[in-house]
Amino acid sequence: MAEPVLTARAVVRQFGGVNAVDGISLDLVAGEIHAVIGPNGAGKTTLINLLSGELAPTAGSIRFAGHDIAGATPERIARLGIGRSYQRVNVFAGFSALENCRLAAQARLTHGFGLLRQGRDDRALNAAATAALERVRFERSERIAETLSHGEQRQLEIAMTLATAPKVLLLDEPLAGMGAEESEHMTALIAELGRDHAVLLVEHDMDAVFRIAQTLTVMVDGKVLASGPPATIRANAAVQSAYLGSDEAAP
Amino acid sequence: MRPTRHRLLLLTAFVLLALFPLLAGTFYLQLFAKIMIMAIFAMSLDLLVGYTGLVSFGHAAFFGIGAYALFVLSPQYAAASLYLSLPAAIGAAAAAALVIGLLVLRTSGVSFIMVTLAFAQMLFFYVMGSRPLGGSDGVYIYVKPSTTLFGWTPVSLDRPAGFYYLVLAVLAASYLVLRFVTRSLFGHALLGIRSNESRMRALGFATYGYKLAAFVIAGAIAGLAGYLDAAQFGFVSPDLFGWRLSGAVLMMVILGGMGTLYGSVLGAFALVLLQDGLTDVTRHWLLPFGLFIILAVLLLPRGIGGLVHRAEKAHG
Repeated sequence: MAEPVLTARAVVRQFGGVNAVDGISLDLVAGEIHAVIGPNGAGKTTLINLLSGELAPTAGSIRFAGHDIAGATPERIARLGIGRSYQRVNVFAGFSALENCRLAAQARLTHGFGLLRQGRDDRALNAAATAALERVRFERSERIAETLSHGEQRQLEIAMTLATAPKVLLLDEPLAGMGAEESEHMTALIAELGRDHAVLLVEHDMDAVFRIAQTLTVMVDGKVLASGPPATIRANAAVQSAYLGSDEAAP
Repeated sequence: MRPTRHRLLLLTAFVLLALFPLLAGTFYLQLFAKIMIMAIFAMSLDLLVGYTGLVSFGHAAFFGIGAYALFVLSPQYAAASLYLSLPAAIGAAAAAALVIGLLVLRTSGVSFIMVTLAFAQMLFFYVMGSRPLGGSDGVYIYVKPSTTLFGWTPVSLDRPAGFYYLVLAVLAASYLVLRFVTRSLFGHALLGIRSNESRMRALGFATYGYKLAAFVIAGAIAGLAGYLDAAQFGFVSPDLFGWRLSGAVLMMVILGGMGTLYGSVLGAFALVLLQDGLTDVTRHWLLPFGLFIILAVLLLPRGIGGLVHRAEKAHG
């Protein structure tokens, strides 16, 4: 197995007296999709927030490309090369799709404030934004984000993340609320992105997860219940009783 | 095409303002110069309120600093050089904005409104109690700044028309500078912060630094406006730091239409002319004044500037 780009060790996050994330360790490897599954409230989104810097861990270490990033600010982590998407669509509602991606590209491609660079016609940024939109096969780049359908906004969100040229993608339920066909496209897209990124995928669609993930981690109550390749997880008795339910329900 | 039509309108407005001294007497020249000073002040606040989403209720702090800077730099019975005192006033206001901004930008939302107000009030009370700065009575600046450079005087600020043209030039320059700033990549980032700051951080923008830079630019231009105000009437008082002025300029921005720059200019003209007109008619001018503002906010969600925008669209 290749060297992991991101390693989390014994990461804990307390809210009040409760450990929402309780000693999670996991590795993300370039070219691999690592899915995190588990029932609602298992701490999956909290885990993503810890890795992306939105929350600081109470204890534990997170290392990425030689940097200790536990407790670093979201902007520093993003600039190092970790991009994320959100469970609830989180885009710049009044901006066009292209502007959304251009802003994302600006975060990564520019140094300083860019006070002296005029915005709209910046070729490098427009090219990066267009490339990101093309990568997710998004065609309506001039449309205002808030007028897009839910599925399109999800697509846009992934494109924005790609425009920051990340090495690691943290995807928080990218399939939530999508129709069957949209969902199919998105699953294929994530599988494709998994080839040249290290992907952490939090998702409830078990069918998709088992199809495209190379590694699965099952979280229950903030702890890792089991971790391994899909076949092992499917066969794991503890996982079946705790989460996947009976044999018939398991995909 | 809209952009050229828009530019044409702005250019027409500028030409009309430039021709105004040919028609108007001293009273109106002084009134319009005062309005244009408020317009510069309002535009600087628009960078914060309209573009960055930072509602500052203490923007008069920097206006006051610019005004008092002229007093401090003016010899008692001689003129200060415009070329030294004006940059110094801008620098003082910018420095104050840097220090205050470092602190207030740690807050957001309602707390930000309150903390900016608190800082302006602190300066207000400091000046009130300061004998060298004239205390609560304020203090006169006897001689207007001089524009003489190497023996050549391009314009005398003692003449109302001369001062008017200086203010008009500064208004146009401020507009162009702010327009450049808002259209730069920096300006795009500010709009992103206004729209969704946490998303901006997740994309990798150190938003605090961006907001601080915007706060300093806005403070510097507010200081420039304050300097002109002090120069116009040769008098400064603690009211220049007051919350009434902070509120009035905020009203100009909101009424004129946030996030457009020219809207702030329209807002300044509308508010000052309306107040001026109403005080001529009745002593109880605040009543119709308040009614007007309520109606304007109800009927023009995007301000007077939004009305212009709509008209342009209809014809374009």
